[in-house]
Amino acid sequence: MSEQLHPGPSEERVEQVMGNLLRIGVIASAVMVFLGGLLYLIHEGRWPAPDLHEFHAQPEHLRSPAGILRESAALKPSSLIMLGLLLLIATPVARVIFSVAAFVLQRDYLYVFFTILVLSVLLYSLFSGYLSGSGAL
Amino acid sequence: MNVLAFTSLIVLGALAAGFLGALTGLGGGVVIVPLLVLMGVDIKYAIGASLVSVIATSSGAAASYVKEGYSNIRIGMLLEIATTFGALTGAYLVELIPTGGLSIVFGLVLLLSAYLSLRSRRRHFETEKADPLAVRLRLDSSYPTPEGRQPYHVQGVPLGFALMYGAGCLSGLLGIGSGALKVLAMDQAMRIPFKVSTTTSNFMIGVTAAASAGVYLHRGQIVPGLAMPVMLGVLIGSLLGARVLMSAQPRILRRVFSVVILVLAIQMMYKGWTALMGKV
Repeated sequence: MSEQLHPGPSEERVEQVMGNLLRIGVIASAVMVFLGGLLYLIHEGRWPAPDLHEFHAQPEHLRSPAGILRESAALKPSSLIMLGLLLLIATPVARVIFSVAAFVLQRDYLYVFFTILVLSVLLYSLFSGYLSGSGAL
Repeated sequence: MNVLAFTSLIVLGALAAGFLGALTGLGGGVVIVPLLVLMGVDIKYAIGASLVSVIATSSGAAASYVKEGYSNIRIGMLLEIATTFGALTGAYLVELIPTGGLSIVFGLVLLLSAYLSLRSRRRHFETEKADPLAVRLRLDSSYPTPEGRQPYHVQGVPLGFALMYGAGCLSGLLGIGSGALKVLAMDQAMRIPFKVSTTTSNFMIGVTAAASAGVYLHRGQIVPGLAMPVMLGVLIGSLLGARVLMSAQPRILRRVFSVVILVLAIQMMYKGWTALMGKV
């Protein structure tokens, strides 16, 4: 059927790689969050529970990808958890990037365009903090 | 209460939410948010933590669905344009709506989702003609059935696209996957076979949630000490739920748990109402 009309990798192959990509991303981020969580409980387990009754924005270094990366390098437990969460958010982004590549190989340029559009929204969301100046570098 | 007790409590709640979300097919998000709010957590933090868990469960489940060959990647990709723009809109709307208002909207959406997932599905159809727009967008495909691959023709693309924008908006506003609404758009408006609709919807939820997660992150709505137990708990709970679902009678389970959903919805609306009244 139409699958044979497209050059490049078959639909089934694309779907298989995509499935593995998603699984690896989720497992890696869950492990990261778990390890960060373990450190967090060892360090701060006896501290009073955080007061979350009213919304106050989290500190700057937990709000931007750059801040999270920097503080994770110093092995700060909260930042390690956030690094795991960042990895989780990055998983669907990686899937979309992979889709762009797959559609390029299939020479399906209409869908290359669609996929790039989705990718732009995702990247805008992830890095928009820098545009509005609220994300600390 | 210290951090250790707080974390354990949230893990237990998140396990239950993930389990319930998988059994009812509504997703962990719609259960964990009311649960956290019930425990006294501000809804803006609850939404942030929930959204993160939504990405985890959706990506985890999509990994197996994608391999089965039910989901349609072109339909998913096209509609993700609508859901991601919707998700951005929803994430920005959070700032404009007072906390009480968010709770009320959440309760209403919870009721709607429960109703949609309990309603009996549309009968199967085979007489649909090819729609020119769907053909140009190469959306028509086939899916595996016991009698071999069954082709289908996608209808109503513009309406489906518009509904998806709305579903994305609610996802970004409330930190849920809004799978029930996504399935409604695909199943009813676009006449896509049910199994293809549910799996493609699941496939899209992760990308939709990631689009608003960035905004939540910058706004400081994602608290590591809360998101950690919520994400791990919901993920494990939903894996368990999916396993039980395969060996149990989903119809009966769904009826039982829809009562729980009803209680959560009413509680959210009540809480939202009193918060709004208290401010006046």
